[in-house]
Amino acid sequence: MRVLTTQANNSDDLRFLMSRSLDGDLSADESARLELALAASADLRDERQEMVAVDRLVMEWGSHPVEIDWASHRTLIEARISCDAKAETDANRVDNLLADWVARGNIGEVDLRGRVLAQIRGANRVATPLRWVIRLGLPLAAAAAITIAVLLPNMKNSPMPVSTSIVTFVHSGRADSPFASDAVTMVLFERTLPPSPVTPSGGSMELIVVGSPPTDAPLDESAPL
Amino acid sequence: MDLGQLRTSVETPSVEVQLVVRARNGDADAFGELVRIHQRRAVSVAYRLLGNTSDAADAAQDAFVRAFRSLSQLEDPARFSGWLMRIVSNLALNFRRGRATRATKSLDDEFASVESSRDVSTGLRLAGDQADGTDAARETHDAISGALEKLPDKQRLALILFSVEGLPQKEVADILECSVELVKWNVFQARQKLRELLSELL
Repeated sequence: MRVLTTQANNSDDLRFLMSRSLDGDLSADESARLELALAASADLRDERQEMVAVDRLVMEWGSHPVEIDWASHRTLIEARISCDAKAETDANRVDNLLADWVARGNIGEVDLRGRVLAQIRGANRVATPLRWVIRLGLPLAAAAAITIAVLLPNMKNSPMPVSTSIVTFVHSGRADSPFASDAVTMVLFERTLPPSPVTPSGGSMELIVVGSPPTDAPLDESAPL
Repeated sequence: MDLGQLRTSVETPSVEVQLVVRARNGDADAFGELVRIHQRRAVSVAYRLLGNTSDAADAAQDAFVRAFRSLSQLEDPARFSGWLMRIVSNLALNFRRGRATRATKSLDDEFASVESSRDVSTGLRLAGDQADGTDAARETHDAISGALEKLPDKQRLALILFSVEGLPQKEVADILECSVELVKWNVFQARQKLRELLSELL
């Protein structure tokens, strides 16, 4: 292997000219410049010889024709293209069928507004018991508290101890239930009685129902929550 | 040059344009004719990049099918040849990149008879092998194949299309989507590297 040397006049520019000279691509000026450089440098002449040899090797390498069964190769390509064309035709037919179907107006009327309103009403229906509790239960509880506040001073004067509690029942409302309402607020007054012949152990409980919502009031679905 | 040759050389581009236009309108026969015209070069370019006739035939086949599907994207029918070779080159290079991880592909039955006598190392059945299939010739061929494999894609493609396939620099520039000057530079760079890689053969 020969060691390549680089001299001042052996620049890439000159090598590029050498490469292009192999392809007959140089102008007259470029040819003259290259010939001048080659005449002055043995190394450059050697490089040119090597470049020519490389080019010859590559051309020889590529000079052998590739041989395959060309007819079969073409048949395979045409078969694939034919399949492609058929698939495209089928797709176009489907598109056309869909377009016709849409054009005939076969899509039924959809009452979207009605469906949405029905969904909203359904949501209201679920929320109604809670709404009743808030609307009636809380005022009734407040009323009960006021009642207690009024009654309690009088009860304090009573010789019997009194305990009071407020109970609110929330009920979903069955038609056959005695509590056919959504909420019942009750105030329980419990008095402890001294033992007597009638109640040897003593004690009794009084139940006062302070309030309840209307039992048969229709649900107002349109009312805001 | 006789009149017949002159007429052929003048009419060929025009005939090809007509075929492309017809194929673009869905005429499979017209595209079949385009396949017949460009088939050998497509397989040859793919082979020079892949070094294997089976892969080259597959890549060329895929390229033709892809070209048929994409014909509507070809703005100038007169540039069909360069456009097709660009598809072939890109597919072959992709094929090459993917081949490293792909299992050995069995040959299509259609090619089995042709491939039966192919060269073990490169998969190529060369016409010249019958005449000069000596060890020395085979070693030289393999050495050049190995050296070309080491070149960057653009340099290898430029050298193969220009020096081996004999395409004009302008057409190579079209295929590589670069300037003619860059084609010349890539060819020069490829030759320089081959000088180093093949120094023992020089």
